[in-house]
Amino acid sequence: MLGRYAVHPMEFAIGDTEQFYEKMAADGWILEKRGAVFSRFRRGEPQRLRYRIELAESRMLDPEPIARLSEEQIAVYEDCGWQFVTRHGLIYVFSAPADGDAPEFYTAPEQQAAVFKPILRQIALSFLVTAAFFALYTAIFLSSRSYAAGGFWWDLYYTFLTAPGLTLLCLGWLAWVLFYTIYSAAQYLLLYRRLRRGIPMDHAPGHRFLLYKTVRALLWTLMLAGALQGAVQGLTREKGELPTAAEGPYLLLDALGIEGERGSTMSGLPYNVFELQQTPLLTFWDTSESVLVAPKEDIWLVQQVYELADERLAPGLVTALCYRSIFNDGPSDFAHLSDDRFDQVLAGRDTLIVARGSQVWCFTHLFEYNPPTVQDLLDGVAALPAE
Amino acid sequence: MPERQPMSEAMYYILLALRHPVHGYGIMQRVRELSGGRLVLGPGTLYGILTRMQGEGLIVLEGINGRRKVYTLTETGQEALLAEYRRLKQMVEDSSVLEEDV
Repeated sequence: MLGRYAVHPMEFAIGDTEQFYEKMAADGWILEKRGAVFSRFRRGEPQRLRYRIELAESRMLDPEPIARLSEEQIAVYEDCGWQFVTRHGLIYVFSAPADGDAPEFYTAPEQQAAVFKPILRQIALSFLVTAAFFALYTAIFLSSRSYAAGGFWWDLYYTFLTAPGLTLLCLGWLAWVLFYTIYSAAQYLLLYRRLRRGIPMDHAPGHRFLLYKTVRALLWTLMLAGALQGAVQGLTREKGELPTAAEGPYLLLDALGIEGERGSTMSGLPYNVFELQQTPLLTFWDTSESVLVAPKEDIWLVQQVYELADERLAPGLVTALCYRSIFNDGPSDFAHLSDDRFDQVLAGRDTLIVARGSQVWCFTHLFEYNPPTVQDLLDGVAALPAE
Repeated sequence: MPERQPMSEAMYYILLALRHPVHGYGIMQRVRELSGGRLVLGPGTLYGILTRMQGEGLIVLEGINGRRKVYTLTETGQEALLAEYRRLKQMVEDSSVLEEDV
């Protein structure tokens, strides 16, 4: 074997990284290149090497976005007996024979602390920028009436039901970025304080970072599971022209007594199509149908039908659908209709939501102008076999 | 001109080494010689101090030799070095009473 890759310790674990490369060199694996997650090693004679890491100062609003050590600084280090090996991001790796007389980079820990100061400032700036964006997005969300009333969380609930993998992937990634940023900032801060107190860097700390590793394993497993579920959902999705006979618990205009040739007076809109998706939490059909009842007159019906894995999820889904309705701003825009055949019937502007057991229907239709009426749809749904 | 804070030992010796233009590694060697081997600067420490002193106008880049930059003292640096020397000398003179205790 001529070379190998190995996962190196995290960027903020400076002493542990140095120790890791030294152990690898002692086993005959000499560092060649460092990447974001992996380091590449070449096979060689086992060597006793000292590795040291220098951080390039990250300067705010620097015209050069990637912080670099200057050629001159590297030359000075090399003159002292250190050999520049590789770099990635802020990390510069140097090595020297363990029994050589290359001096430590810093004879004064306080001086080394100065290198961490801009990094901490940069992290603080990133936090502020993120917080500012978050505040801006929150303001935009809250400017919508439905989101101000809590619609965002119901929207998230809906997304979780219909795309759980994607939701887990996104939330997992957000949580990971947040955790990593806070954790690495805390580690840099601890190191900075240590150096400021005049305690030199520990080059063989042997940290285990249990909390970090546990959270990382948890979140990455979550994201991987999410990605897999999302991929399966995407691959098994069925999409196509709306069948002339229903192949699921959805209604067709024909069955409601509205006859005509399929087609639309509005071009370019995706009418007479259906989509079927399955997740561990539900199966749902999304249909759009339009028929021409006269040369320039069409009737259309858009519906989503959900079959939930657990009927206890249905009330939440109904609320979420109220918030997601195009023509309504939330449950307050809906009237509860009484019909013993169903658990819930909610009628809003051009929207009807019906729940029965673990099944939920959401119809969008211009009720004021065209058939079918709300009653037609309720009768149609009642005639569908219960799951 | 605001009163200058007392210099660190490393800073003082670097200024002392820069009475004649020299590059980074040369500074380290001169500091070691001047201090009789007592003070060994790390390259990171040296580089940090050089950057700071350049910002404070105590030293200036005189030229570039390959990858190496050659530094020299500015007039301000010269004055600061002399002021620090006088301060240290005065401290030593003031402390001569200690000789009487020995």
